[in-house]
Order: sequence, then structure tokens, then C-alpha cells
Amino acid sequence: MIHPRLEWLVRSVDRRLRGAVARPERRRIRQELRASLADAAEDFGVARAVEQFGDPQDVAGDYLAGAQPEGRAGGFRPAQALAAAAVTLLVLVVLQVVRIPSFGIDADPALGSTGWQWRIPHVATFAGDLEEGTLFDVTVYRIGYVVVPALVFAALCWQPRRVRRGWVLLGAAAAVGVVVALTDERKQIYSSANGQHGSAAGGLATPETNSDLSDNRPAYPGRRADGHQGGFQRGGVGGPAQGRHGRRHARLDR
Amino acid sequence: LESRPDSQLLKGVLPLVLLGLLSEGESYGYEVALRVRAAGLSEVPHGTIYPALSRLERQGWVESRLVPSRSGPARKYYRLTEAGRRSLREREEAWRELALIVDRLLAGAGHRGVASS
Repeated sequence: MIHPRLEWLVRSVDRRLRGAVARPERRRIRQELRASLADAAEDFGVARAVEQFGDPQDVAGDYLAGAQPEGRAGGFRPAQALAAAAVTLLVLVVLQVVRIPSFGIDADPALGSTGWQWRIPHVATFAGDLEEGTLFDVTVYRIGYVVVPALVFAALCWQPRRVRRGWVLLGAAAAVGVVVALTDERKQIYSSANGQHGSAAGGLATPETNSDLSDNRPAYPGRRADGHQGGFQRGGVGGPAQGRHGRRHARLDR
Repeated sequence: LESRPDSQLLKGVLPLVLLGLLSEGESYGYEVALRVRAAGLSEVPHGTIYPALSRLERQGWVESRLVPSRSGPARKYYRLTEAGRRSLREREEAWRELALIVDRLLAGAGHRGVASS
């Protein structure tokens, strides 16, 4: 059993390494410091051992100076990437389940719309409608459960040795741009498919658009007893006549 | 007035010192720290030795093994690797050349200093 004062010294070094040095490495460092301090205390007493050890902040700084390039070194990290993908999957499942009700808020007739929606094609639809009694509701499509965790895995499994911040920002901007561009395109197809607006597709659902839209079927058709999810999709392919949600989407597109 | 080596200078030569000490045989952190002090580098805190040893290990110049200790937690013993021996030879050579140059410069400055005074 190490003297509490020496243990405090070890812990004060360890505390400064959190977040920068991997846990197993920190455990090895603590072990070595304990052993060395115990030896020093046996030879010279606790007070002298503490004095000879030096400032814990400097010691931690030396460890950090040596560990940072290694700790952030690039390479193949499948375990971390897999963990991140699993967390992403969990978040998607939670998002699918979570629904924020409108708490009785009424729509302002002057706005001419009672809801909103934002779709990431093939992945998910975010929506809310006061008439439906929801402020926020997410539908994650079956393919989204595969694609999003797979993208997270692919993005994290290989990490370059050094990443310039400019490149990270550029990559993030490009990713956002792609998502927004895809979303806009989908809106156009959606509008033409339900026949509410004239568009490049001539207001008719082509086989291509039909097949695209059929991909957007939710992971859990008929998720709620009121047929919320099914209606959501029917609105996309069939137009307003096919249900409440179809009407809603037609309204949102106006 | 006692002359004390600059701490940055000490940090700079510490890897060479540690490689030199470990070339004499396997040793654990605290023992290395004692030997560094015994060699005359008493300004080096023990806490500086352990991160330096860790760094040498990461660079592949030393390898370690844990040995149970009767006095407390297991000790981490370090020994030089083949790469470490090569690095020691290179660093030793570089150090000697540098020391020679600095000595020569200081000797020249000393003469000038004496002449000007």
C-alpha cells in the first residue's frame, strides 16, 4: 500500500494526462510512478521522495510532450470506429423513437402552414406538424441504419497522421453541401410526383422517381397506431388523396 | 557561486545520458534516477526521468518488462534494444563533435576575454 501523499502525487500527474494519453498507457504510467515513489520513500522517507520527484505539473507536461504525437498518430483504428458506429446506430434508434409533441400549440393561420419537414433522401425525414400534434419527429429509413453508421465507421477507421484544420473545414462544408443538394433534388422529385406543382419532371412521377421514392419507405411501416409513418410515405408517392400526411406534404410544398 | 546546469540543457542531453546508463545493463526507473543523481546531475528531478524513459521506449530504443517487487508495486525494468545501441553510438558521436566545437569556441572566447581585460 502506497503512502496517501505519494498516491496524491501520482493522481495529480494522472489527472493532467486525461484525454491526451490512452487509458492503458496512463495505467502503466501510474504503476511506474507508484513503484518509483515507493522505492524513494523507502530510501529517503516520504517528504524527500516528494521533493525529489519534482513538480507534478512539469512531470505531466513531459509525459504529454512525448505522448501527443504518438497519441494522435494516424493509422487503422477499427475498434474506435466500430464503437463510434455503434453509438451512431443507437442515436438513430433513439431518434426514431423520440417524438416531441406540440403541447397543444396552435398554428397561426396567417402563416398558411402548420408544419415543416426536412428530408435526407434514403436516410431520414425530420418533420413536425401542429395539426398532427408534433413539433419534432424523425423517421429513419432502413437504409439509413446501414449507411450512416457505415459512413461513420469509414470516416474514423483510418486517421491521417496530421490533419490540417482547413482540410477538415473544407471536407465538412463539402459533406453539408452534398446533403443539401440531394435534399433539394428530392424535394423537386417529390413535388412533381404528387402532382402539386409544375416542375422539370412535368408533374408526373416517372418510373425513375417512383423507384427512388419507394426506397424511402420507413423502417417500421405503421409505426404508430394512427398510421403516421405510412401516411408520410403515401403522401410522397400518391399525392394528397392518400391520407392526412399526404395532404400535409402537399401543403408544405406550396 | 555554484554553477548549475540549465534545465533545458539537461533535458536535451537526458536521452543520451539514459541510453548511456542503460547500455551498462538493465535497470528500473528509480534506480536510473539515482544513478543520474550519483553521476552529478543532481538538478534533474526524478519525475523527469520516467517520461524520458517512456519516450525512449516508444521510440523503440529501450524495451521494458514488469518485475514484482517485495517493497511495493511491480517495477518496470528497462533495457537497451539494438536500435537503442545504434542510436547511442550516433548520439555519442554527435555529442563529442558538438562538445569539441563548443569547447573550441569557448576557449577562443576565453582568450579574447583575457586579452581584452
